[in-house]
Amino acid sequence: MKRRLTFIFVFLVGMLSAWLPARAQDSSDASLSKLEEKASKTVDVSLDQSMLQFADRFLNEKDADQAKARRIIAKLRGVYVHNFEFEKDGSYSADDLAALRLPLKGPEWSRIVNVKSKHNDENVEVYFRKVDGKFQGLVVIATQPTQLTYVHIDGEIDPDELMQLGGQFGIPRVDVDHSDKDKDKEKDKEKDKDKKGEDE
Amino acid sequence: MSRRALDLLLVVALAIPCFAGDREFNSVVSTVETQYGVHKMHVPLLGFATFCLKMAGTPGTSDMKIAVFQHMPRPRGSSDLEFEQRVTSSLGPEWQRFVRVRTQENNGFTIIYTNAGEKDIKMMIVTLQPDDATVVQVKLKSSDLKRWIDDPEGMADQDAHEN
Repeated sequence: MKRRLTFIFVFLVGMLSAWLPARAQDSSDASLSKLEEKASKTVDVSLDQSMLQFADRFLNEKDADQAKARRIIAKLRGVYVHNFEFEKDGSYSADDLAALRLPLKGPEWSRIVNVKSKHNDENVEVYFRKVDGKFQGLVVIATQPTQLTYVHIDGEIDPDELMQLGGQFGIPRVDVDHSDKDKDKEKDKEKDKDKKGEDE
Repeated sequence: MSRRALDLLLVVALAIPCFAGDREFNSVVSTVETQYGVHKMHVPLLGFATFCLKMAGTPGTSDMKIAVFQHMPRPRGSSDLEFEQRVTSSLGPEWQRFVRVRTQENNGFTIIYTNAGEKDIKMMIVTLQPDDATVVQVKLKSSDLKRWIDDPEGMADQDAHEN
């Protein structure tokens, strides 16, 4: 009897753990549908495992970049990209974004990157899903006043390898612009020189 | 008698993939017809053209089917998502939605489904415009596709020389 109860408990826990990510997906699907109603143009690209395996055949093992992409793809279950374009600023609200982030508030998810650019009002958030110490999924939410991109990569991911997928399969490339930092450094150097000159 | 029955069985077995391909294409065409109350246009010599395309051995493409619909009443805000669900269920689980593009400005809606096999990939492209629609099914050989992607200029030169 006790053994049967243990089995039922393990079974229920297993079912629940399988159900929770599915629920998260459902709620993000609903949020994405809401955004679609407001968008002037919507582009969805879905690459499930069979398509990824098919795409894998086109990557050349002799090419270093493509060989890396092959290794990443082999561990993925799917890549889903949703891009929304809006006619004017403010077409989507903060509540729409909050609804999109809601499934990512779960204990398995953590936001590791949040880049805000004042220059072009761009905001990029990267969330990772970690299960048993392994990265098992990733969500990127990139927003601009008239554009929103939501990328969901499902499967085992090495964050270092992942950056190499940027620019492929519709995944936006996240380029970190160091030019401002470089300019600041140059300014600091000039200030130091001026100070030294004044002292002399 | 048993030999004849075996021959017949063999012919039927060989024909099943052709019918399966036709069935999927026809089911999508039928879904468009039912949803929007239209009939596909008769395009003169379309069958002959696709036959020639098949015989000419267009690189990468081994099969192509086209259906065109015109004067199709499709008001703005019509239930495209309901249509998509019907197409998805008519195709079956082996077909995956690959790309979907929806534009409000010109009331356009395009869905591309794929069915990736070992040696080839089948694509079903459904395009809805405010007044017309097109359904295209193509079968692409993965080996030829790979060669085209790896060396597009070389393949184009080779194709030009062959023709």
